Amino acid sequence: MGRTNFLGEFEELILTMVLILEEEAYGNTIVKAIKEHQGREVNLSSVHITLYRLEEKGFLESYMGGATKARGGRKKRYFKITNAGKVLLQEMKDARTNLWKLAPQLNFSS
Amino acid sequence: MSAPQPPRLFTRFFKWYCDPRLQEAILGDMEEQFEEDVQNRGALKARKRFAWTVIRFFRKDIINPKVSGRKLNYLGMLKNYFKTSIRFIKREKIYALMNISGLAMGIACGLLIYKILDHELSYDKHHTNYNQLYRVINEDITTNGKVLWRGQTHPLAQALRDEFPNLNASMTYYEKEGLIGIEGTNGNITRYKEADGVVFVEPEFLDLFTLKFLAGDSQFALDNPGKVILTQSLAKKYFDLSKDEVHQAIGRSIILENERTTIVSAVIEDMPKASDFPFEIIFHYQDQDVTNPWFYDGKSWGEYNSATNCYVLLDENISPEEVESQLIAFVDKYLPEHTAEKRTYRLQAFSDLHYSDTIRRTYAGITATKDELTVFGLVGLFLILTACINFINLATAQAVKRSKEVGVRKTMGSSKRQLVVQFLCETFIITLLATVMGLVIASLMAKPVQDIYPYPIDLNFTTDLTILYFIVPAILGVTLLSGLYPSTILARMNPVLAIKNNLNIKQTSGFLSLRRGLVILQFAISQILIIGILILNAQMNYFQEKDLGFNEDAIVTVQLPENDSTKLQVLKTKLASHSGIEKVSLNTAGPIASFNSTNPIFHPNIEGQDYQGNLKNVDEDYFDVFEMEFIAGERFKRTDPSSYVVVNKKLANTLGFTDPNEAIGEQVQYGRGNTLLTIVGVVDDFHSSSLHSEIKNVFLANYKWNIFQASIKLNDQPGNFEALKKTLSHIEQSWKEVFPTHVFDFEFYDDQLASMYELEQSVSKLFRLFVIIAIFIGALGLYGLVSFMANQKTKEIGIRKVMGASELSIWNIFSRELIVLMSIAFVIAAPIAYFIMDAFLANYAYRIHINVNYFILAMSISVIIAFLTVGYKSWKVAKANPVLSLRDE
Repeated sequence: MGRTNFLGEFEELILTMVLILEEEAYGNTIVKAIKEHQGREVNLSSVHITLYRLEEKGFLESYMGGATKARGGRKKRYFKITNAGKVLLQEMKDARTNLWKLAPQLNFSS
Repeated sequence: MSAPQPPRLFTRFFKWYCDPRLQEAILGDMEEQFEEDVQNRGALKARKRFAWTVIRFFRKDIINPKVSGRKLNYLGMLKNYFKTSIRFIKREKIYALMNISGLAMGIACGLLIYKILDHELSYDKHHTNYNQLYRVINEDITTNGKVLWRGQTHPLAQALRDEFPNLNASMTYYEKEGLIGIEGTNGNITRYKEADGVVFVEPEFLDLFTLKFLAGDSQFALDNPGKVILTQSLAKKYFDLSKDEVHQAIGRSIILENERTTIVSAVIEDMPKASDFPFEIIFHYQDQDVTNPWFYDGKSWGEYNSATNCYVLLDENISPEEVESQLIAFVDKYLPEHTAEKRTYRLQAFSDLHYSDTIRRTYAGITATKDELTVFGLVGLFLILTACINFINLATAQAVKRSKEVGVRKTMGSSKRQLVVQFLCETFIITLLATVMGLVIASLMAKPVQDIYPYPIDLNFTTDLTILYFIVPAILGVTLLSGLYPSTILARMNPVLAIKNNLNIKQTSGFLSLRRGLVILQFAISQILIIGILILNAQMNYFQEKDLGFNEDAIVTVQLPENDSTKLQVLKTKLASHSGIEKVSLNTAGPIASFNSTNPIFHPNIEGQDYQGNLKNVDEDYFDVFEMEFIAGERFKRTDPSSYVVVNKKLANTLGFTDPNEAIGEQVQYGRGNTLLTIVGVVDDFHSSSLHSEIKNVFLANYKWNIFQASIKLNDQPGNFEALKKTLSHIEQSWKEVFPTHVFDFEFYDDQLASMYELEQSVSKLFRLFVIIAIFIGALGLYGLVSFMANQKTKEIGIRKVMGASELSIWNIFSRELIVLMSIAFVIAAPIAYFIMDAFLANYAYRIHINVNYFILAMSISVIIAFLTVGYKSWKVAKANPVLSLRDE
């Protein structure tokens, strides 16, 4: 794995969220989803900056759309996961599962 | 109602810095979040989060590359300015050193003065009830006019609490010193003579004042007599505890004056330094009977003492005027008629306590009036101002040298504004260096200043951020004040002339007159300071040399802890037997004492008039020890009746006897009881309190009680320290034999007297220090001025010399202007100095009178300093070879 294929913990989280939210992934929904699923308060700015970084790395792509009255009539920047992104997430998940198999079995019953 | 909007300032800021490609989506997201927040958490929280998010977005990936580019460019220019400034400073080392050291001195003094003011202004602020606390003071109408004073009677607070349900009150009696005994585990008693901090308060005190309890319960800490609160440091000292063990002091016993055993009920944090209540060991009010012979169970409405004060706490919604008006009826109800008819109770706000100019004493010492603090602050400001004026003078003097640089910069397209910014940067760097140096100087000066001003000056700004409140404005202020003018002058130069190095006087004549004005101002400031210090010193000498009407030399005072007549006589005999001791007197107090027993006096000759008299109990040897002169009658003998008194001339005059002999045999009633005193002698007037106040009416009585001290006149053996040491150790020996359960201490009487002028002494010392620095800074400025003149006149001087002018006549050119400037400054300074110093001297009943000598002396001092500074430089210019200055065209 090269340097560009490495994801930080937060990047992985954002990427996963975009995957989960499918068509509805933009800044605010991601902030809310993280709050909802992980109980973690993150600042909008961290989310945006990470999104742009992931886009630059080629794991996300974005398009403008969905102007509503609510937000001062401004368009949203929606994000969509690319194939490279999906592959990367899958790889990371497999790698982790493999590592877990090497760990000594935890016995919670005793 | 329109919906809440996100904060506009932050929106604008965001729009300014954000990359336009990202802007729409981000701003949309932020606004959406804002709208939801308004719904869920309220407008305030929403705004806060919006602002925070904007700040968080301010980072590299988001910022518009153009904005950062613009910044970089600016930064580059600043870098260049910085570099040229450093180069210039390096090139003109002497110039820079003069500038920096002058400014550093100014800043250092300013900082120290700021710290002192900061301390003075923070007094008593730690009390949570600061704004609702008042001291009850007396306003009496006497035949001498209105008098305000602070001493109170013991039952006052209780009566106030009974009468007014919406106020709380507490008495405080500050005994100050006391003998404290601690019983050790082996039964031995260790005794400590505490010189400060012993106080007696009512339990309500704890509701009024803020104490920080480390151990013990504030509710029960003083609920009964026999309990005592200690500060942490005393608890550590008495019981040998570490910081974490102070709670172990609770329940231990403390013996007061060998008589009263009290139990430690609580330990509190030490009082802050800036407190008018320097309490360290706080007893219950009722326990003062062991140390205060005038306590009388705290029931007397006629016994006043300046150490007995009454404080009240008002409810928030009551005004002090309201209470004062209710107190009018209260006075009639409680006070004896003769007091009530002239008495009004006033409430003195707590915020006035430390700054009062009418009641100048608090438990901690002397108040600092706002006027005095302002004058002090002005001195600091003057010092910084003179330093700035220096800078301006020196910088304009250097302007000619910078003209080429300015010319080149201008031709290359530099704008005026850029040039101003450049020179301001340079000033900023110099100021910054000066500040660093100033901090070093200030920390070096802190030690001597602390010896004069008895409070620690903390200059460690890692722990004390308040220094930054001074430093940051000082740096900016000094930079602008001293940099703005020279930089505009430089920026205004005509580039063509500048490059040709052909700047003539005409082009700079505008600032010549301003420069003159500045020099005059500077001269005036230093002359005011010099006149001030001369007069202050003269008044101090007057204090030392004034004939007090008695001889205070070679007298040792030791306290007498017990009043037992036989014991005292034993001690007196023992002391007098030593060859190093001439005479011993046992008495209440020396002729001048900070403590006086004062009562109204009555005599047929002064019917219906208010007169007060001081009474001291003395023995027949008193008059010899203090070498007092009898002008009528003679002294009483020990065996004479107790009511025999010797009075001073002033008292005889008060009673209407111009010839003191007529007063002999007269009877005077002292106080409202039935004390009748018979005059047997009259001594010449002597001062009975510090020279701040007039000579009082004094009785020296033959009573055998309230004998508090022995005054021991030593045989005069100047310089013989061995003999002195032996005599002192004899005194200690004899004292300890008579009072084995007390702690010995002695003082020289003249030292005691000197300490009454402690405030003046420290003011004059501080003043002297700052004046010397002001003069030093001024001298630097003068040097700069002469350098400037020399630069301006190089050619003129060259030509004059070629034409045959002598060195002396050239030197005259310089001196003439100086004399003129100095004279103008003197005309301004003299009346101001006279006015200020005359007002200052009005504080003293006995004072010197300002005469013309001080002004002549001040003028000569400044002339001498000026010529010493200027002489060398101008002489060098006068001697210079004219070829050198004329060749360079």
